[in-house]
Order: sequence, then C-alpha cells, then structure tokens
Amino acid sequence: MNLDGYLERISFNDTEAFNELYNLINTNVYSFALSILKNHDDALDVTQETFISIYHNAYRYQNQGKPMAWILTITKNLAYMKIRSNKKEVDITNIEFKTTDNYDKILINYLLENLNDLERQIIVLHSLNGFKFHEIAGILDLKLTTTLSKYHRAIKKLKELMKEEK
Amino acid sequence: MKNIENKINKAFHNIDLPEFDNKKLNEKKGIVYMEKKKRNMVPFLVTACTLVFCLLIGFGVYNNNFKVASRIGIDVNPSIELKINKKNKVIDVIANNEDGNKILSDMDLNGSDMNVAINALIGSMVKNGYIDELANSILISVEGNSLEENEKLRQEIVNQLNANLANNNFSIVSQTVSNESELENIANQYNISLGKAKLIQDIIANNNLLTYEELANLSINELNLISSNNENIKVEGSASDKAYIGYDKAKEIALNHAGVTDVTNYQVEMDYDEVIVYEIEFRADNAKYEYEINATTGDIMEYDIDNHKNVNDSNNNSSNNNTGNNTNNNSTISRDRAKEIALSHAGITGNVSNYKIELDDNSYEIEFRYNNKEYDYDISLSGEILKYSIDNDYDDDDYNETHASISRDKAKEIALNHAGVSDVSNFKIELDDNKYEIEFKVGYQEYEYEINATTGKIISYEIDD
Repeated sequence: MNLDGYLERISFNDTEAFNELYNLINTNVYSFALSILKNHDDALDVTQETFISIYHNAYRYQNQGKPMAWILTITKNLAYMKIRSNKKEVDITNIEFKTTDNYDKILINYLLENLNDLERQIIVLHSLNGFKFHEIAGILDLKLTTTLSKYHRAIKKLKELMKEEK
Repeated sequence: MKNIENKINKAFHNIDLPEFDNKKLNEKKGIVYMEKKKRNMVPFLVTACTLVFCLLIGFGVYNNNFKVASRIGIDVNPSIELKINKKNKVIDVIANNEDGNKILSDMDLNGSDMNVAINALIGSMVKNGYIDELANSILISVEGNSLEENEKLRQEIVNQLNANLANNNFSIVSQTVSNESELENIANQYNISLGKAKLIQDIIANNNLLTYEELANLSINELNLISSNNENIKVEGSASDKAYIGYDKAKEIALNHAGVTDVTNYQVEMDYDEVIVYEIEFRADNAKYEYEINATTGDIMEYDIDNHKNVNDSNNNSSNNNTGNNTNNNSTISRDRAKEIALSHAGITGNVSNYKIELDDNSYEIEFRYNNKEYDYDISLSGEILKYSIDNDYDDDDYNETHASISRDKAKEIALNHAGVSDVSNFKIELDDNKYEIEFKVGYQEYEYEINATTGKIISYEIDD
C-alpha cells in the first residue's frame, strides 16, 4: 500500500494503519528532525508530535500526490517551533543503535558536526527519501540551484571526511 | 556519491527508535509539552486554586457584568481585541499593534454594545485609510469557552456587519478560535493576533509549502486573496484584487507567452511566493503549462512546460533509494547529446554558465544559466524533453558566486599569506553574502578569516589555540 492509502485510512482513525505507517517511516521523520535539531531527545519528541499531527490531520491531506513532502513539512514546522522554545546543545550521546558497529555513530556524528544545517537537511532528505532536488527545494524553501550546489558541497565534504576515516 | 548516501541511509535505519504509544493519540494535541511542565505546575495550581476560591467568596455577589465571556478579535492591519461580558457589552479594549493604538486613540468603548463598538472601530479604520477599495478585508475572530456560543456570536456579528456595510463592498473573513496552546505559541512568536495565527494555520493546512514566517507579514487582504480556494475559511464578499493586474490580464500574459489560444483545464489561483502571484495551469496540444506571474508587475517569474503526457510521481515510496542504477535498455543518449538537445531547444549558441547535469530517475536533469535566466531541463534517456522551466528571477548565493570578483583560490592565498603558513589541514571555505568564510587548522591552532569577495580585504580574523 502506498502512503496515500495509509493517510486515507488514518483519516478514518484507523490505528492499525497508523501503527504500520509509523513503523514504515519513523526513521525518515526522525532523521529529518535530527538534522534540524541535532539533539536526539528533541528529535524523538518531534517525531512523536509529527505522528500525532498526522493522525489528527490526515483528513486535511487531500491526495496532493506528495505525501512524504506533506509529512516532512509538518516535521519541519514542529522542529522549528522546538528550536525557538528551547535552544539546546548538540547531543546524540543517548542514541541507541541496533548494531554494535561504531561506524554508523561516527557517520551520523560527521553529519551533525561537519555539515551546516541546510547541507545536512538536504543530504538527509535525499539519501533517506529519494526526493528529487526540486522537491527538496520545495520542502526547505530553497531555490533549486541553491539546493544543488549545497548538496554537491556536502557530498564533497563527506567524501573527504570518510577518506580520513579509512 | 550513492555509496555515502546508502551508508547514511543504513546508519539511520540502524538507530533503535521506540514503538509508538497509541495512548498519545487520544490525548489533546500539545500534551507532549505539558507532561514536562506538570511537576512544576503543582505549586502554582495550588496557589491559583486558593486565589480563585477567595475570589469566588469575595465577589460571589457580583453579577456577571465584569466577567469576560468572549473575546472578539478585529484584524485589518490594525489589530484590536474586544473583551465582552455575557450581555455582549464591551468591558475592555486592547490594541495588539501600533495601528491598533492609532485607531483606539480617541475612543472610549467601555460599556457600549458589542456591535456598536465593532461598527465604530471599522468606521474609524475606513476613515484612517486602513480599509479602502484596494484592501477591503476584515478578519473577525471569536474566542470563548463554548464552541456553540462562539459560533452563535460569530454569526450574529457577521449578520450585523453585512446589514450595516451592505453598500461598502467589504470582504469579511470570520472564524471561531479555540484557545490552544499551539496557536498561542505561534501568535506570540510572530507577534500577531490569535485570530491571524488561526487564519494562517488554516492556510498552511491547505498548502503546506507555505510557512508562518512568510505569511505573518502579509495583510489580511493578502491572506484573504491567497486562501480563496480554502473551504475551511468562511468569507462574505470577495477580497479586493484591485491592487493587482487581475485574473484576465494574467491569463492573457500566460497565453501570449505560450503562443496558444485554445486551452483546456484552465486553472488559476492567487498564491504567495515571496510576492503575491497568479498560479496558472492549463493544457494545450497535449502539453501541460504552468506559469507563475507576479501579481503586481505582471512579470513571468517562472514557467514550466511538460510534454510528458503521464508524468508519474515517484515519491509515494519512502526509504527506497535505488535510483540511477536501473538498467536502461535500448537507446540511451550521452550526457553531451542531452546538453545539445537542451541548448538547441533554448536557442542558445554561446557559452552558458553554472552548467550542471545529473542522471536522476532515468532522466538527465540539466541546469544552466544564460543571460540572467536560469534554465532547468529534464531529458529522458531517449532524448525527449520531459519537462523544462525557465526562471527569470533568481538570486541566491550561487549568483553571488558568479559575481564575486576574487576566486576561492585567491581568497585562500590571502588568508594563508596573512597567517604566514602554508601547510594547513581541515581547510574550509564558503561564500556567504559576498564574503568568504575561511577556516583551517595548523596543528591544534584554529584560524578563521572573513574576506571580502569583491575587494579581497580581510574583514576579520581569529586565531584559537
């Protein structure tokens, strides 16, 4: 079932569909929230708030063909509110990984420490959601060209960092 | 590239996220914040309860004359709030902004009837030029404890206004507002009234690409114009678009530009994209046209022509990222050929700047600039132009980049010379607002420079151990 189908069912308060949707895309929502907030606990809060908002507002989603963009725009708005209400330090120490390998942690740390905010958000939107660049530009309110140049800059930075890692 | 992105994707999917607790769904929105506050609130609650109790004893004999039953917000640009009691008499008036203060300056409305007060306020706004034929929208927001009462009051006010202003051609947007903490936060953040925050919230719910930041600065008339298709918003009369070129003129501009006369599926609406725009869509000769036209100047800001009959949207799928490597069978054109096709379609023979090409989802995405315009093409692997757009109005940091008169290398040289070093690590350079921001390390020492991108002058520098 595609995301439109889930939202349709959720608009009738179908909690089963809601839980399936949560399990399907919670990583997408969380990663975008983390890329804005740089703080694990805040990102978890915003993830939860996003899903609560999806549940209550699914009926407002009128099959515009861009469900993921709709969802992540909610995440963005909620995350920005959070930033304003409490500015916190970068903190990802309490992220728990399913694997014991340290590599994932290092990579996410690079993302948060070495990329600037927009670079990080673009990279996360592109690598987790497979959005096209013009869609990313739409979500982040950027020009397509800005999105592309920031993307290329970010990839270059990451490549260099990962080289050092090896 | 894909390699790093796959690793990022995997890393995030390896993060252990909690299950969703469905109990949260039945609680009121915003409860997430309240949970944390609860503990601290207890002492306050105790004091507050005692206080309320004393008040009840003390003023129990008092009748309801001084108790606020509802609040009525009036927004044009002046923003004013009336507090009224059960008998619809005004007990307090507050101006929410500068313009509101001006309107209230010589008025004493306390004790008067609600409808009389609203009429007087609107009269004064007309007299002071806040409402005229170019901007005729008034927002009425009713807030109180009972939804039913709010709605009754809203209807009564709108009926009264309609009767009193029948000949004036006003547009009255009206709504009931429940006092949610979420909404109040927004109102405080952007320094707007609760009513305006609610209206913006409704607009964003319908078009979630807009943001509170952008819309908070718009006038009620502008908000009214761009929300004309929103069913959740109740409007009497239509918002004045006399400050703009008008729907007919906008259509004429788009059709002329497209060189077509016979169109189907024509749609137009007013929207906001840094300025108020007309968004026009139509079909002609199997192609789909989209135009964005500046509503004030009539300039074409962007257009998009899609020759593909059935563009399928590829984003109903979330964590899947296997683009690019799909087997592309039979005829596949080269990157150079794709560039040729785009340039010849654009009618450009000279050199273009900022040229970029990328293979994405089985088509080439090409982008370049020429003559102060920005071109985007989407060309299929068989060489067909799927989509293109031309943006006549771009400005961003890349634009600055082409206008920066000293290069990144030159800026680096200036910084290193000044620092008197040659072998550096972690070198970073970024162009921002016509200045290069440079960072590097020598051993454990960190250097930061800001260099003017036009003159090469060092604006500031900092050395940290």
